[in-house]
Amino acid sequence: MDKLIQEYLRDKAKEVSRTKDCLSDRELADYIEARLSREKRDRIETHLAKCFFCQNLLITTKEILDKHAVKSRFWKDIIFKNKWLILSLASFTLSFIFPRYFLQFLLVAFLLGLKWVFSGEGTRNLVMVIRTLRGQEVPSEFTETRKK
Amino acid sequence: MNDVRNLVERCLAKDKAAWNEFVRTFRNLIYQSVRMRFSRSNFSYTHQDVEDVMQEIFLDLWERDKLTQVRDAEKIQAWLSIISQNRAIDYMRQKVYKMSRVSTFIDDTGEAKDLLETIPSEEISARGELLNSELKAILETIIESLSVKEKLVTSLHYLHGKTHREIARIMHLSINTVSTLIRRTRIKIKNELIKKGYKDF
Repeated sequence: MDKLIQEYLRDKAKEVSRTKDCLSDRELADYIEARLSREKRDRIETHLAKCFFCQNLLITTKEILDKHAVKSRFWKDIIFKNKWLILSLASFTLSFIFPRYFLQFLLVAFLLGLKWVFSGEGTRNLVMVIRTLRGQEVPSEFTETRKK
Repeated sequence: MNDVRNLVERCLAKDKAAWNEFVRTFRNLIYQSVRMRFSRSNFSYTHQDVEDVMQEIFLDLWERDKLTQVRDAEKIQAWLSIISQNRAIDYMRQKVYKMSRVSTFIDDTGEAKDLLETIPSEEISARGELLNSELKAILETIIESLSVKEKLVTSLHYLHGKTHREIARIMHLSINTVSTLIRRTRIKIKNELIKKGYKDF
């Protein structure tokens, strides 16, 4: 049935035309930036629901902005996602730098490691590694979230 | 974010240093927007085409004071991307016009349409084989009866291939709401199709 709906919509949208009712640059930008009142949002969504031209402009703009934002946040995201692992490794390294507190740092490293394993991202990584080692298929919800 | 507002005000006051800063900050976004619009419209372009469009955009902003439209805005990235894409669409229209000199055509419904106002959509490929005219009419009635939000979510999901999470971000809704809307729409369409005697899907 999904294919039917898809084909119907593709057929409807085979010509994407700008009309005089299309949203202005500012209206569409305000919708994307969530700067509108409820009534204005509803009015814009009423137009968007039937206009494939504005839909196309909306999703392309959103993709461009996401790509643009992703580039500048890339390293920040990586560090944030792996913060427990990074802290655990840092603590492990410190245990060798300060031999006097070797056990304390090691314990902290172990606890932070556990935190990483039980946090969402860590568990997902482990599940993927184990499933791949066993030759099983990785469920799509894991791969989809990791793509983000 | 008052920085952007301040920068825009200074650009409108024709402050050259502010304009240089503006170009440095947003040049990449404008470049990406123009390129993406060309690619999405299956337009075969060169680096010179992109540069020409960018030149026009900067003229709009600096000489034709288009920035007055966003004088009060805290963020202008979305607006800039949209005006860049619209400029790219105008550029494609001019190129098509120069090449064909024919600007109107008659579509399937017999209605005259402006070819230059029509951009090919990247999602639209071969004509469907599953659909016959009767089924098309039934689906039309069902989809027209959906609420605005259901219709928009359905389009974003089935036509543009967006995931629930992406739709939630586009429409500023929760993922649960989007999932509920999609599930509810699916059930509605399925029930209506069964009522009309369609069972093989």
